[in-house]
Amino acid sequence: MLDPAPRTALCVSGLRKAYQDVVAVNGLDLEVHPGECFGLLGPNGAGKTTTVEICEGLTAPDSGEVELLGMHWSSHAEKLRQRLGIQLQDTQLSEKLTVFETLRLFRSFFEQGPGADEAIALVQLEEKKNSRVGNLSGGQKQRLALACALVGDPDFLFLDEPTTGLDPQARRQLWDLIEQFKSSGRTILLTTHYMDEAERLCERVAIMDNGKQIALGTPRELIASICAEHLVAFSAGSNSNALDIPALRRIEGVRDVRTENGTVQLQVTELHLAVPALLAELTRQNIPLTELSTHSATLEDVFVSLTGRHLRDE
Amino acid sequence: MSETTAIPEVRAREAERKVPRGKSFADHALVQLTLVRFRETLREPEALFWIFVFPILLAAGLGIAFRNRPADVLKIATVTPELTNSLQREKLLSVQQLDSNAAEDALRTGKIALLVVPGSNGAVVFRYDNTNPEGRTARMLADRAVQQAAGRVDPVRTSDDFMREPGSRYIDFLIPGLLGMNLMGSAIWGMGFTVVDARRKKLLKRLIATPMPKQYFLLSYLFSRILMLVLEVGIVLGFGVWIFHVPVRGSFLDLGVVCLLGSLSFSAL
Repeated sequence: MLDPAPRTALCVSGLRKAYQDVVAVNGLDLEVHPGECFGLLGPNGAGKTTTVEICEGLTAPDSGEVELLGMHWSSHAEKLRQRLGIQLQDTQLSEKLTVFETLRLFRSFFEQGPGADEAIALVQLEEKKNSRVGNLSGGQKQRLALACALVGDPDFLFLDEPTTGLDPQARRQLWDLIEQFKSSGRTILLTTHYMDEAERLCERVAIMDNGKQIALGTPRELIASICAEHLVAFSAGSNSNALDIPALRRIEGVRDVRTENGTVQLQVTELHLAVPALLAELTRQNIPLTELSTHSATLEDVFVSLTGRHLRDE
Repeated sequence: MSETTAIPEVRAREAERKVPRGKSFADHALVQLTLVRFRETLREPEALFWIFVFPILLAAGLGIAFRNRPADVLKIATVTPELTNSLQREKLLSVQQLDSNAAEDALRTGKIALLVVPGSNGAVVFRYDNTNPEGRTARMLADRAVQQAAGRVDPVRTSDDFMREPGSRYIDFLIPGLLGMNLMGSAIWGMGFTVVDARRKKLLKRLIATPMPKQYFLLSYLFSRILMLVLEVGIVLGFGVWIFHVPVRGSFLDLGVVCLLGSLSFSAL
């Protein structure tokens, strides 16, 4: 029988996992192509981490298939472990060890890969080589965790919320490192609830909510899918109750109108036409404007338009 | 599914993967894990204190507090120079001569155990509290001194052979107890606690996500315990032998076996 070489680095089908009464992953299918950075997006509790841990062989699924680098966890666990780089969500490495000792320990588990010194250079932690892990900043700890994932020269890298809780500068530094790794042609599965992170790093993105995939595509495709390139938000202060929403919908170029906490948000295709028309309409309705802002549509807006909720809502 | 079905890109990279270099001994996963365990313990100031400093402080403190003192000298008093003279031959008595009022006071307030006064017709009277063992001992010693001074010759010659050998003192029983306590404490803290802590910090999960052979993880605990055991027992025992001359009777092999068994059973808890 001819078994065509799989075109996917990771293929997940029909994945289900329930914890007691909570269904964390509910029939998920995913395909990650070799050499791409695939983003798994969703709010907290969407099932991202459970999905990733099943793919990493740390959690057994209730049902469904995982095929990773053409292998299965049931038959090739040892071989797979050698070829994966894993960064878990908020792992605390031993605080008493130095950066070098930590990497030397992790390196000793793998058959091959860069040495501890090389790995330290990869994540630019040379000055901290002999510092205790407990004395590192949040960003430095995350870079060390990344180095621990890279030390086995992995073909497939799992990054679970690598930049959560970091300041903007540390996040950008980590993004640069991930981009470097990407350029060497290896595959990355990244989970995040930062939309800007996914837009910057990922070739393709799957949006998850309540254990299911609700959208899949390149960031550009997803943004295009809400048929609006721009968003206009304005606030009418205390007069917002008097607002004639259906009239706003009729303005040319407006795709959708939603109100939220006294702010009105319009999805708009042609900003240069819609804004003057909006201002004219508000003048006609005799409503004074207290605030007006516009921005280009992001993945965040995609999520809001798909679920009616914000990503960061708890 | 075998490796031949791997995706082309990965297969290409696989061809690049070098044959595993021969690793040095120090780069072996088990050696690194053991080293890490050892370093983690040694870098915990509290652990070091409880394992090494505390037993030594305890041994020193209790060893000094309960050390064997030379036999006490009993204080007695007399009222005449003749009696003082004859009683001073007895080395276990400290004799002072007082006037009779001061002597009565001293006896009443317990500053002396016995008051020796001359009675009628050359007799000697011992005044003391016969419910007080010190008073009774002092009376016997004083009586013997007075009789011998008056020329009594004992019909049987006697001599003393003192038994104060190391091995029966307080400290000699304290050191083995401290060793046992130390083994229990460090085994429980060094093993159970650190594994639970690693789990809480998700470090255990992170390690399982690597190709680390799982038996190495437990073996590293075992080896680092044995290393620590040698240090712990060596330091406390060495201290006892060096400072208090605690004798070790019996073989060091037996000691090693008992310590190892003890440590392992408490690690297993």
